[in-house]
Amino acid sequence: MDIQFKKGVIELCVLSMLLDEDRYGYELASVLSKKINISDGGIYPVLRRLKSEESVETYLSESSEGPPRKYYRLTKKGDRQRQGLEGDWQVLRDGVDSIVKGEKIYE
Amino acid sequence: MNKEQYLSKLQKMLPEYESQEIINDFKEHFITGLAEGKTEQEIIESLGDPVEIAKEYGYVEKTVVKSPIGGRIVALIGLIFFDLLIGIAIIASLFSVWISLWSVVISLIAGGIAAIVGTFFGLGPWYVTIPGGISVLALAVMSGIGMVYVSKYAFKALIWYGKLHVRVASGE
Repeated sequence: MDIQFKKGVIELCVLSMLLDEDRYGYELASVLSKKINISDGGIYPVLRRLKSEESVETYLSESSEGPPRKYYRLTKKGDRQRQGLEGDWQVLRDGVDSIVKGEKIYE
Repeated sequence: MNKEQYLSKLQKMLPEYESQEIINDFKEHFITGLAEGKTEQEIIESLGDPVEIAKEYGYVEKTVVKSPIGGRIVALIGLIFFDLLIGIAIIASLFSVWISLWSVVISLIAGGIAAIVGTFFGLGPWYVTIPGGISVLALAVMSGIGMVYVSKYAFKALIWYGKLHVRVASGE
């Protein structure tokens, strides 16, 4: 998959997962790697970039498993970015679907 | 590869100013994974290649590009020619300047001491020779300290110039 395209998709997934609750890195990584087949390690560069763009913010919270965990929270800016990406995604998905289905008709 | 090797491989490819924070994220990932009953090997496998991860952070492995051997030989011969024609002459003249400056420092020390000691052998009135001698000694100490610095930098420059030959020859 094209790297830029993949980045956008992962960003959309991360931002959407943070919509209803704050989550920690491992949680985001394990869900994403199961659902869209990316390596767990690929999530951290995305999180760092989202943080530097102020789309998410982080805080530490105690965990039962040892040292405090870093949690990610969606910001207002992040939510706007999420809406934009979601719109892009729907346009892309509909477009691709129509082509894919159309090709099947003419086969 | 175990956890420590994985983390150090990743760390080596990241710049110092942000490596610690990134490594902490991965340490946390390991802790959570281990607590969920995964092995270090399983976690490493699902994390993926550290080289790829560093790339996604925007950093690539440093690779040394060597220039071709022919170019290196020509460059080294050119450098040696420069040494013979100009380099040695410049170094020799700077060396003689360095020697003469040190001689000045030594003469000032000798002069200062002579003025003070000479007081006891009737060199002149003490209120001239003692302050005079001390001033000259102070001047000697200051210029001596200056010369220590000059020598240090001159030495470093000489080493750099020597290493330049090695760099040109190895083509790095």
